[in-house]
Amino acid sequence: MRQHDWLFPHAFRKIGLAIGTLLLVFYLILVTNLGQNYYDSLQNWSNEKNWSGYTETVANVFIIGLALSLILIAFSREKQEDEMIQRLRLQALQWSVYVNYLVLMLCSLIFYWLDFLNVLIFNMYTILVFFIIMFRWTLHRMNKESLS
Amino acid sequence: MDIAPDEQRVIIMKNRLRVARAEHNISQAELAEKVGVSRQTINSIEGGRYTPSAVLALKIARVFGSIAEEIFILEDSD
Repeated sequence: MRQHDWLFPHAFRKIGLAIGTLLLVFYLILVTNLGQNYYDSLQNWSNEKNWSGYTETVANVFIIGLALSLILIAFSREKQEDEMIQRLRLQALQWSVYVNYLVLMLCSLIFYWLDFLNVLIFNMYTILVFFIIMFRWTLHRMNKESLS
Repeated sequence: MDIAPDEQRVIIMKNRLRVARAEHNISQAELAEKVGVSRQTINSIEGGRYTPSAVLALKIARVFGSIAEEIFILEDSD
């Protein structure tokens, strides 16, 4: 009896990693001096064309791209996705939800107003990041145990 | 064995999978392939770190030509 598991095919993990890498490179170009000239020239170009949505578009690329990348990395099937892997996946997901909200609660005591808004922006992604770290770590530990 | 739903005790499942494999001269990898799981899953079941689903337990028993209860033993402990 095969049940649908709502996971992406295994190859999609590489697509997620590729999107993540591209975003990282794009981000590094934008924040370093190397990218400043490029950024200025793009903004000049968008001013010339009377297109005011440049910054918003860059933000959208990052928001959607990062979410897509993390979701593909987190929820692509393993090479051999069996019932034990699915249980580990569920446990890691539960753990990541707990940790994510614990971090959010702690941050609510430390950060206020605009600082807390930044925390919320990070919090959109930390749940997936915590899940990926926990799940990979569990798989790594399981592989080590089975070899010993 | 009667199991009351409210009873606070831990039910564990022991298995003699390693012995059955040795008797039939089947490696973990071979058994894993036959039942469609990873070798790590078979290893975890043998080590008592993972309790298989009913479907997997039945599949494993079928490989050895026996019934599930000959390989998986239900025990209760405090």
